[in-house]
Amino acid sequence: MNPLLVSFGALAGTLAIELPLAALLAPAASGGARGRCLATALCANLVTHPVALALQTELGFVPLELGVTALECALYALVAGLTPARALLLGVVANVVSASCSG
Amino acid sequence: MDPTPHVYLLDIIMPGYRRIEHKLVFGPSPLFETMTLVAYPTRGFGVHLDVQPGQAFEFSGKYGTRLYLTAKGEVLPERLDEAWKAAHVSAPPPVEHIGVVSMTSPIESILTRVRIERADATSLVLAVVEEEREHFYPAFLAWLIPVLLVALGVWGLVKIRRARLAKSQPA
Repeated sequence: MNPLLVSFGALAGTLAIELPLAALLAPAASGGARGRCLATALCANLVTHPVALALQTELGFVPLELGVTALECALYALVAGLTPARALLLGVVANVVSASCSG
Repeated sequence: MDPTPHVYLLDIIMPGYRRIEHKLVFGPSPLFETMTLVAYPTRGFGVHLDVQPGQAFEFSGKYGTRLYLTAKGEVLPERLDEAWKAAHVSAPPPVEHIGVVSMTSPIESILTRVRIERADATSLVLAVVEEEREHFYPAFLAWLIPVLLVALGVWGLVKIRRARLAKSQPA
């Protein structure tokens, strides 16, 4: 199969899993937080996914997923403004679930 | 992105890689009028293959391939034993087999054109003429598309952060 389709399919699959989780785990009370979380999750994956695909054969699955998770947690805190605990929860849960679903 | 051999063992391909087809093709040579070139695996069980000039054939990195020169019309045994091999000049393919590439590599298949450089009673020397790589899409897209996606993501993250900070500052 065309590797471009494989790459876009993997990105689409990751977003299909992580965006609903971001919406679910975003703080509900403060105004606009859920939208920011969703937008941050989308943009963070646009950054981490191509980089992860490019480095997967060099780094291996586990170190790569740990790096991606750490970066996304930091982005949820710095960009979406989540508390460190909430950012950690969202980043870890989203990546554990999406990584578990990856073949 | 570069082809990376030696990442498959038996029939298992490591995660992040996919299999591709790598073939050899010999150019015309007067030698083919009197001699036959035979490809035979160096490991495992296999059958010999008569190499025809101009006809691409698969060779194996996993089982290894060696090319033997025989007289035209010579009847070959079903299995080429050590005595038969020792009695014929031979050479390995002049190029390393690339059987797998990174999952994101645009390479679809590889055809290596080779020629018989020299053949006599004691030696067979093969040489690469050129290598043709078929791509699923232009190779530059393999880096351009990821770069564009990352740039879009970074731009979005900067916009989201700026919007959040602007909203949180008192008027």
